[in-house]
Amino acid sequence: MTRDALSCLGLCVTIFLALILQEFIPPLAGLEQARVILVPMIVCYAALALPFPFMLLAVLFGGMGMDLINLQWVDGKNGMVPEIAPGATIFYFLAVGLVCQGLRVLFLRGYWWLFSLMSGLSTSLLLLLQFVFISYRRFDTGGIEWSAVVLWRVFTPGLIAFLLAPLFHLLAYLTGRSLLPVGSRSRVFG
Amino acid sequence: MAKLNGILLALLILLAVVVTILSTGAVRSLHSGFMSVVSPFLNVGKAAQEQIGSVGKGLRTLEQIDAENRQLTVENRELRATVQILQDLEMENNRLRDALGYMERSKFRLVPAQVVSRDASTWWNTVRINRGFEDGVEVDRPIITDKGLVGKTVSVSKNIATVMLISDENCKVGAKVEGTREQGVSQGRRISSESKGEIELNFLTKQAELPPGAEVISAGVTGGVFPPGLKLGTVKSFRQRDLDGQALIEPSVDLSTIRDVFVIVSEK
Repeated sequence: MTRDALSCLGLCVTIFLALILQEFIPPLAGLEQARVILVPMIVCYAALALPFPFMLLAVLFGGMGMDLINLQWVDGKNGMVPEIAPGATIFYFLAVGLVCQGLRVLFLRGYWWLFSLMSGLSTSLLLLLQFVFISYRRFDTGGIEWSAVVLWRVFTPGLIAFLLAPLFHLLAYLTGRSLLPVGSRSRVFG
Repeated sequence: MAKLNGILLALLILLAVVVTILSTGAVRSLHSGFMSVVSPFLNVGKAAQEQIGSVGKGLRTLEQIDAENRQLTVENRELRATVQILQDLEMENNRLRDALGYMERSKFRLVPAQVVSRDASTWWNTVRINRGFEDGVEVDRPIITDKGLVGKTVSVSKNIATVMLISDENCKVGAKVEGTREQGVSQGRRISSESKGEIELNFLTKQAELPPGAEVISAGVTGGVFPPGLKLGTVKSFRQRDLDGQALIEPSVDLSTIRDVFVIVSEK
């Protein structure tokens, strides 16, 4: 329990640092201004590695952090309102977390690529849902505008998360061995 | 254990629902509080980023000169911005259009600010600046540089503010084309592969036939956020639509590289 609590604390700190770091990573000029988004990857890691109660905590922290740091205020009928309500990403991460919990047994048996897969999927799906939602909100100014640029911006961050996930797993192993679940550590690297 | 998990899950969902349905005022307070907590880390990150950039350029031994130079550059740009506003005032006076009112509106108090970070979100065009309500900055304040309009503040916390750039689809500015009677509403494009940003000027007359290079300035709508005379950019192209004309505007400020900006905090 203490090990899991420490793992959760460490991952929450990592989520916070990722929120800050994301702000300083410039958009990828050669890839249609796609961004590098790290938080969904870390939430996936927490959801795959930690027991259910701690997964919920990571989901709450990651979702709230993402919502608040990205909160966009737009003109509404009675003054400015958030374009996407805070709390939306908590629900999204909860759904992702529940799927990850279902895969947790496999992850702890050494199927580390599930982490990569879930990271990539959850990052792209988050961006896709955001795009669909704001398109719905701005329906009077054009509705959904699909283009190659949209696809680049949705799928490139997912691909980057997919590729970064194994490195993150390796880095966590190399730098914080005690913070990793025993199963995944012994099967993947041991 | 399963029962405990169920209770915790229900609690999380309840909490998320509560957060989702919070009143706008409560969300603003929550957001402001969060950004106040985050701002020291963003400032440290910016300093670290600059330090790394400085090392990369081999200017480590010239740090003091660099700092002084930057301070002077900021002062210089503030003066140039003020001069531009005064020039606009003079032009407007010469045209004898609402002279008295314009004089009132053109006397701005500017607060210099630096861009701390650029929003990591994919679908919105915003930056964060290192000024907040402690510096007299409020929501809906225009942000300018000596080259023209940058955007407006949309959220303000203690010492950090988020600026919606004019290249964002939600940032709408009443604008007119210099040398013509054409007026329209500018807004950014939802999706643009241009890093500098692109702006559309909508609701022009179909017969406008604007030449490339024509200057576009803010029109200064009564009760609006943006004062008149601030340069938005130049016309890149014009096209006729079914009901109106639309011009594509190249912003006068390179929105992807801006570092020093000014907040118009008050009109005397």
